[in-house]
Amino acid sequence: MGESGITKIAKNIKKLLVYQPERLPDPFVLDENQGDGKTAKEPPVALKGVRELESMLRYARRLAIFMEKTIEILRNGQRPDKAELLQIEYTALEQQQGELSAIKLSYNSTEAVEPAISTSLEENQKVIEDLYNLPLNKDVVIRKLTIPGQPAVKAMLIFMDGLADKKVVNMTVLNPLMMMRNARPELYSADLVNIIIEQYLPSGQASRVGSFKEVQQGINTGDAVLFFDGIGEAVTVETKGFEHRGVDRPATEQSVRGAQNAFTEVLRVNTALIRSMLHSSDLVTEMIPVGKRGHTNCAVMYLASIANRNLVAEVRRRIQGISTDLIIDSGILEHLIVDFPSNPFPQTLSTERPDRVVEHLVEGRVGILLDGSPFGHIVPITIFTLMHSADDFSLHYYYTNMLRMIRWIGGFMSMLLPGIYLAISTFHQEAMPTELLLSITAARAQVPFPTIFEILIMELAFELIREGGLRIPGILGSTIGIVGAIILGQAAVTAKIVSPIMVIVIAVTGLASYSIPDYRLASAFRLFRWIFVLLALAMGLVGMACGFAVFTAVLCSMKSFGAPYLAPIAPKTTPGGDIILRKASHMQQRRPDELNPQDDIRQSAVSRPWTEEPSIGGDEL
Amino acid sequence: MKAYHVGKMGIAEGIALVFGLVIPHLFLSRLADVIQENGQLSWLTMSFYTVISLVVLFMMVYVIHSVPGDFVTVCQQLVGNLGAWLIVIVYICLFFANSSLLLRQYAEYTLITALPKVNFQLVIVWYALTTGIMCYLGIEALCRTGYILLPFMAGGLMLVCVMVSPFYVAYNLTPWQGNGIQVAVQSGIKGVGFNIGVLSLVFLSSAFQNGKTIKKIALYALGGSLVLRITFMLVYTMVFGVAIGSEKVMPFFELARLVYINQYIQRIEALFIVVWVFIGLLAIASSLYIGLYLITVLLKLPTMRPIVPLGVMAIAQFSMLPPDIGYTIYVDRLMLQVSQVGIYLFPGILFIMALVKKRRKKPCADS
Amino acid sequence: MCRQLMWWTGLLVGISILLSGCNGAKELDQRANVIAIGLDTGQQEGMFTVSYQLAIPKGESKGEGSEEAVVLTNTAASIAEARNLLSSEVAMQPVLAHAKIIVIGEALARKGLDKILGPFMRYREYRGTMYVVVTRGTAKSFFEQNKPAFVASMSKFYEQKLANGEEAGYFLSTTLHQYYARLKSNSGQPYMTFVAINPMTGEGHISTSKATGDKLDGYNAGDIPRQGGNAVDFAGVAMFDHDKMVATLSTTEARMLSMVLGRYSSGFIVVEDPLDSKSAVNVSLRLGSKPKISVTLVEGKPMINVHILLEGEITSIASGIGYEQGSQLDILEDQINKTMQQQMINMIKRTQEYNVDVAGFGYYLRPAFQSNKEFDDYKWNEKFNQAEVNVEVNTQIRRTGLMIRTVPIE
Repeated sequence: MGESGITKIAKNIKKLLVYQPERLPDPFVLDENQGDGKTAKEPPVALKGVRELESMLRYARRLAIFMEKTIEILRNGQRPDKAELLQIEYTALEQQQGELSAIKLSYNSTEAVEPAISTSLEENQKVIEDLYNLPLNKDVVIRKLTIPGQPAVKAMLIFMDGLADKKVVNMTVLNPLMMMRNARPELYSADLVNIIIEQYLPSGQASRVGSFKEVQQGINTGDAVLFFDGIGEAVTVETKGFEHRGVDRPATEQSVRGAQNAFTEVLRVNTALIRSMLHSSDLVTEMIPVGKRGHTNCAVMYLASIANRNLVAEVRRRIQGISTDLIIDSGILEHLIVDFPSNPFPQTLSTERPDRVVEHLVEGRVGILLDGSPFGHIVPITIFTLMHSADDFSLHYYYTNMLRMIRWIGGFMSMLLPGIYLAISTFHQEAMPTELLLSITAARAQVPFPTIFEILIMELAFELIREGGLRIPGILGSTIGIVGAIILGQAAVTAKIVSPIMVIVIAVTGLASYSIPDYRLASAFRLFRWIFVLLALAMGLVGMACGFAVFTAVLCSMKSFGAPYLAPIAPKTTPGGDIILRKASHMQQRRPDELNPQDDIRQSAVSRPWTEEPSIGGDEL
Repeated sequence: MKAYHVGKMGIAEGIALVFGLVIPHLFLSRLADVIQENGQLSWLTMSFYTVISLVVLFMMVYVIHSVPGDFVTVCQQLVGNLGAWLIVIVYICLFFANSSLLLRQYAEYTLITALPKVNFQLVIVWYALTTGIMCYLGIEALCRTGYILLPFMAGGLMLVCVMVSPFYVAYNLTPWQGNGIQVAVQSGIKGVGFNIGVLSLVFLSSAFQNGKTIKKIALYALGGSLVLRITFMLVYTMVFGVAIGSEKVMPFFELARLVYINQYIQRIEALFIVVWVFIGLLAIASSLYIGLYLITVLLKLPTMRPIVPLGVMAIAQFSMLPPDIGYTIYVDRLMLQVSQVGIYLFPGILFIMALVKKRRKKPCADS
Repeated sequence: MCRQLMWWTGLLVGISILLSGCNGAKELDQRANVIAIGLDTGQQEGMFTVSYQLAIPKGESKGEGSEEAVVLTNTAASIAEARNLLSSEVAMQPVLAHAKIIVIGEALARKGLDKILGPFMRYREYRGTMYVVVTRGTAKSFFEQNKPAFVASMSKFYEQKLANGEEAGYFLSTTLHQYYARLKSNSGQPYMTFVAINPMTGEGHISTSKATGDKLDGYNAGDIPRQGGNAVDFAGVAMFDHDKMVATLSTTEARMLSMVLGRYSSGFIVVEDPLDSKSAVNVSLRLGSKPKISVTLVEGKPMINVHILLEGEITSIASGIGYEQGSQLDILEDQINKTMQQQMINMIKRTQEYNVDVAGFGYYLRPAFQSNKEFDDYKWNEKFNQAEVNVEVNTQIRRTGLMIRTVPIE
């Protein structure tokens, strides 16, 4: 009270001099959800009560309107057609009342109940709006229409904008239903849904659904769903037509011969590609939805007359037994269903080529495709399958065998070469010829770092180039090659940071790892390379030998969906003519033994009967 | 993993198992002893003890199939509870001793051959750990690894033998009677302990399909090892002669050291160390596994995995007991003598009891 | 529980690896490579002079071009001591793994090698594949005066010389393994390559004069009349009676020895022209097959039969006589046979003189005995000088070079 003049002046001076920070609102902090512990799907009790109250109110309103209409009609004298209408509406109201009792029961309890498709169109619309967060969610389109009939049927069409092909919706659903002016059938007399499906929807796939779960699944994948007033069921019509990438050349598995198409992200396109190569009635495609929120479709394909039944059942069991939110890529699916998820060696074959899938299906394996991923999986496999490439069978077997030997040598080199070099140059120097030893010594004498450090530096550099090359935009792609080669190779040697022989060793190792056809196998070998380098650092060749023995033992104890990982070498089974080296095409009689298919023989012993018959124009035998 | 064996081990795995148990002494010092004792007739010695061990194995196969059940049950049926415990405990001791002696010798020889400056206890720990891991993974993984690595081992041995061909002096194999046929036969009969590993087939008999498989495995494995041993012994005698041959501590390593083809292919024994280490790991792991398996079966434990680390520590400690290499070789020789008990005495008793039991054929025979 | 166990084990193993040091791992440039070892008797009684020749890698040396090698000499009471001293003299840790040759001074060889042989067979750094040679004079002077003219590096010189140079049989390369094997077998005596530094005055000294019909003289190493090039001669063979050197064989005798051992590859033989004693005929001979040697006991005395098949190519006929055809060829072959036989018998008689069976005839006697004990009791090495020797040489001249006849000069 009564500020004196001095205090006022002081205050004003202070206001003048002191820096006043800008008044900004508080920044957003991502805190925990208030009232944690409840799932978002379940509405709070109070709101739930509100919904039930509203449906009861709507019923009451409808009942009131019906009663008014009845009174009006009765006052105006009897009209048989109108009486029929009234009859129909009366039945509908009766059904709705039945539903209401269920709602009343749930009003008293505290559990959420899955809403069933109601006979009232309004109810259904309210449920849809609830489920899809309308009108916030602009993707879902609700189109009300009236089907001309006797009496006219009020219907509601719901589809997802972008997922459903608008032309197909218009042509196969809206057009036939709204344009049947002339027919005017009596729809309510018999099973309305059946009549609509069988007679009035010219779509290839139309089915009836009875629960909102199926309705949601249909809408979320691009189907159009029709609700009818007075009927407690709905109709889904196949209208999928979203934009997707066309069938293109394989990005990661190029080949010289063989088909050049690859899987895309749409499941139906992929299964179609497989079917286009394998025209067999035995080819079964089972669809299994995975993921609670994603509901992604997973297709399991196999030849019913060849594949082992237990294997198929096991695959199905494992996929059905996954409990997760969403599976976006087939790689995630792979890690959820394999026997040894913590082992970096891949236990399925991941491919984007339909011809490879077909080849393995015929041998008795099972193919797994996931909607949204252009990579399919083949199970069960052995490590030898991972080293086969796509066009191995199209080329002559001598050449293919030579390539396979190179791949295997490359695989082992990529894992063992730096370790061997380290072991020999630091522990077992007598194994090197004297001349080589002296020249390497001369080169190394000027390098200040020990060999292990050189290996680490060069490996790191190589991995940096590799990672960078993946992410660099295409225009600058060639710079990486020049930068990598010149700077890391030549300049490092000239600057005496690494010795020349180390550059050679690392470069050969890197190239060798690229010769392995399967990317994940190459990554696994790269991982183990580090372990072998550490073992070589500690104990020389003895350490590497111990490591290799343990490595082989671990591989031997692995199984891929029940088939041993190193069959047919480790448990000695009948070879199928295609392990490390490959036999000629006319000599491959058996399917791989470890798959235990229902039918072992795939080619008769004489697979070229024409060689035994006399040729045209030749002498008789 | 469910059980120690699933009953699906095939011929190849059995061969790898027996080979792994029987061959490694070829790479250590015992060959020098054999050559010193028998001279140029060592091949006769080797043939003798191989044939005898085959006969013993066939006897034991008969025994194990005369009474249903695993080895301990069979022993209990035939010689009573006390007898069974005695027999199995002796076998456990034999296999554990074999395993620790092998471990010690391998560690010592690693110091001589590949890593002269390494800390001895580190090598013991290293080998023990690796064999522990391999035992832990189970008999199937062990045998399959053996089966994969075995051709490299045999191939390496043959390669060394071929590469020292410039140094062959065929007359070193004469006088062909060496130190006398009688001496050779006697050491053949006494040296059956070399092949005691073949009894592992009997202990693990439920893992193999039937008796015929076991006999086939024994035939191939022992026959193959005999061929390998004789070839090596002949080459070794040709190159070094009997006098120098009995001086060497490690015959195989010395042979590998002698390889000199040209300027570039010489001093390559470091590369054969890899082969040598493989076979050593397999041998120690298999021996350890059999010992632990017998313990498990004897004490009726549900699974073997928890005692694998204990077994590993036990053999590591045992292997460090002898104070020097001379004493180790002496104990090794002693072990060879003691294993005769395991080869002659116990199978003999069991076989006789099995025959007696068969003859009796009374339903309530008290045996 | 399993993961914990794995973590603990991994931790323990990792710590033990880190605490135990490098386990003897040494970088390439931390080791000094010894490529040759020389052994001499020391000035004082009971001392040894050990010379080590170390290789300097290219790029480190001050000069450009050829690799230099440095010679260090230690005097110590034993070889092991000398090796110890070596580590105080060289900047890096010396390793003997790449040693190619062991040079033994003649004085030490004559005194006896039994005292120094121990570490060679027991210590792991020495190998059986190292070459051993005996040098006239001292090993130290050998290293100092050995300057290879054609080969860039010293280690290559030793290896190529001893691995590939045995063409004419004038010297035989020996490894430590061969020496030791012969030493311990009681079926023969060891021998070693004999080398020397040639004074290069152009004057020589003949040690074995021509045999009848032969036109070649035998020289010992160091006595060959020559000038220019590297001063080192590799010629002849040093004979050992167990571990003491007794004598040397000259070049022509070494050639005969190599024929008996089956190691003769090819060389020129110059014989007197059988029809014109003033000219000579050159023939290039090689062994047609391994020599057939049999040694039997006749009334307790050994009888040695040597049969050698030689195949030849005429390389020069000075007199122009047409030896290429028919019966003339037989005459020439006869002459060669006689000459070779005489030389062979001379060589074997010389070895019998010293009672040193360097040809290893005892090996061929072994099948006659039943057991090792019998053979040991027979004591071949003492009975060698009682043996009767029959040599039969069969020469087949297969080719005549580029000419089939010589037209006389008018």
